[in-house]
Amino acid sequence: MGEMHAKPAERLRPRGQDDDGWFDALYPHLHRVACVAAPADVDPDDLVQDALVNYLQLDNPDTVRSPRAFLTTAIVNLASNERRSWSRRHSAMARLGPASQSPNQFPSDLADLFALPPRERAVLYLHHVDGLPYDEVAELVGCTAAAARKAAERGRSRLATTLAEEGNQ
Amino acid sequence: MTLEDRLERLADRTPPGNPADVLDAARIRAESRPASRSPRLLAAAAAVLAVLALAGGGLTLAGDDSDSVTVAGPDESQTGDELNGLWHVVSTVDDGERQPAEGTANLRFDGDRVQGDDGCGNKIETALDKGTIVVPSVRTDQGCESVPGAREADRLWALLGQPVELRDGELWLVADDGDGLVFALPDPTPTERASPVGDWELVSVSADGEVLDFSGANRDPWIGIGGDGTLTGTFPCNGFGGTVQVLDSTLDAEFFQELVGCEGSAGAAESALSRLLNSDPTWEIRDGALFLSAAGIDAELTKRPGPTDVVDAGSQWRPVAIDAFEVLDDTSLNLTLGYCTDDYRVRVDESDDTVTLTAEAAGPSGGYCLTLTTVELRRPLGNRAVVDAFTGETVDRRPTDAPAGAEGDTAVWNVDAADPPTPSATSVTALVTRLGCSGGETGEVLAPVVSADAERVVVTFSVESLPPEGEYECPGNPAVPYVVELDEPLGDRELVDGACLEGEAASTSHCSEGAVRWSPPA
Repeated sequence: MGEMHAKPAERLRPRGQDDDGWFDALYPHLHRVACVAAPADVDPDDLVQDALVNYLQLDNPDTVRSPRAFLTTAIVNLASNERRSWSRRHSAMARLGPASQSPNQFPSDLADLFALPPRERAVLYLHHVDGLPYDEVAELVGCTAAAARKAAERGRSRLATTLAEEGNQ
Repeated sequence: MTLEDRLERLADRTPPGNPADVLDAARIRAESRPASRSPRLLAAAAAVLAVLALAGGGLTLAGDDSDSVTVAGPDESQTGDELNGLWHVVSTVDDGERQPAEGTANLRFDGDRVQGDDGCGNKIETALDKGTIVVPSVRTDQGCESVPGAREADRLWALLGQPVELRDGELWLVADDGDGLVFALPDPTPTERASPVGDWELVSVSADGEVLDFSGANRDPWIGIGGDGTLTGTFPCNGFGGTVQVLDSTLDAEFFQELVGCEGSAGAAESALSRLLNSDPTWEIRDGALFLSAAGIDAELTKRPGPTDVVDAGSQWRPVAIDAFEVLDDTSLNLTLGYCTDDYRVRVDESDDTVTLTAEAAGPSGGYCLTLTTVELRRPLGNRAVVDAFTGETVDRRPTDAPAGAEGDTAVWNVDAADPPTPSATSVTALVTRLGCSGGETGEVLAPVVSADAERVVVTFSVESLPPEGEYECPGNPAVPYVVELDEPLGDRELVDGACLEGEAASTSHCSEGAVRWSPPA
């Protein structure tokens, strides 16, 4: 129980990781997942940082088996929260008057990706781009393999119209 | 582009930062606000922990004081005593979005024992095992058609087998796909507790003990707290709208307000009220009045006797007035309705000289707001009148936002006969004349708006505005030469005066021979 008296700076470092190398190695993956999952108007690195704060504030970060999975799940969940709060703000604004601007400034071929829920985007990315099997994807985003597969299927079918149109060109 | 390519592009949409900076910033934040996690982050963290803890066979509960997250390790399985009681379904969660529930499904927890009713008369009899409701071995099948909440009953059966989660005193059962149900315990105090839900008129507001005078306000300030979590109202000058969560003793409001300037004491009252609502004010009801306070600001409000809770929320359509319209393009009109609702419809009847609009709305009025909708016409509006069938009057036309550079007074132009354009020209000399009376002066010509397509180049001029005071005589205004630079040679396109296409000049003698100022030689 000597751990409890450790200085904060030491407490905030995973056991057995004396330097920050653990995070340097994780960051590129986390940043890309955040880019994929974050709503268009949210800075991906803000999500990475928020997830990291949650992790560092755990009473026992050491008990987290996989910081990579913890942080990835946290980023996807935070992105989902952002999306929900964006919808709430958006409907509140709609009641007030005309929309002054669209928060989505991305080209239309990414706009339909942005229409998918953050978790579906993350699953599609981890499976199709990072090439991870569904059981690994599931561990990263915090669900079962079946749910990850279902999320990917649902995402693909929502995009199907667009993809089919492009395939015909 | 393939799906993979697009996902790659998405993943690269912002360049990565320096990991050491991100980590340092997070460390500083983690150390500086140990217990001030926002409920939103906390909920997310709880969800994350649930996943991790369950992977290790434990149970995760976010305490309903919103301040603690307890993770039970694999060896300390919890009994779930925190869950004891009869929980009623209050919301459904569809793809992560929360909706009000219709049904009467319930679950009763007593230690490890779980009993319930799906709302259709089918009893649930099972157990709680490590935070997860065991899928019952028996399911009766009372018909549930025509019972409100049949969908929720099915949902409930499908969710058995999922872990239960306590969030802010509510019990959540959510599947991995984001669909779920939210349950709440009945209010622990059986005596009816006063609620801040309703419309409240401002009686007084004070900041740091000093009473602020809002009598000069152009609106009567009020705050509407909807039972469905909506927030509407007006400050002394500006309307606002958003969402509000009524907590035990505080309000958690998130809103946007209009930004009309608000000066003097009304402005001080406005900023105090805005600050008050933004600071999670405590609420209290004494003698029928609502008292809000936070950040040194206190407000007293009285219940507004209003029709808002009387109006039947059913789908009875009633006619509503159309405040104004603007022309978006030739065939679409943007309408402003003077009634706040999400549920409205507009019928369009067109004749040769009139466009008749009939607007109807359903549901209660949500207080101050504007409803905007776009209607499509079968052919361009032209000079036809727009009539509101409800009021029988013509609807005000609101000027469409003018393109950049077009501020100023209308002007017409012609080509300079002494220097006519040629197909190879990339500049054209226009002779610009102020349309209105100005005592014989055209004044400074402003940069024109030029829009070009394959067939024509439309140039619309304006001239500097004159002071509105004073009467101007109309001796005819001189033409002022102005050289218009084109992006590419004129070619075989027509030159058109945009002022003759739409607006006040279109019906004048300047445009009587059409809008075309120059045509390419045949």
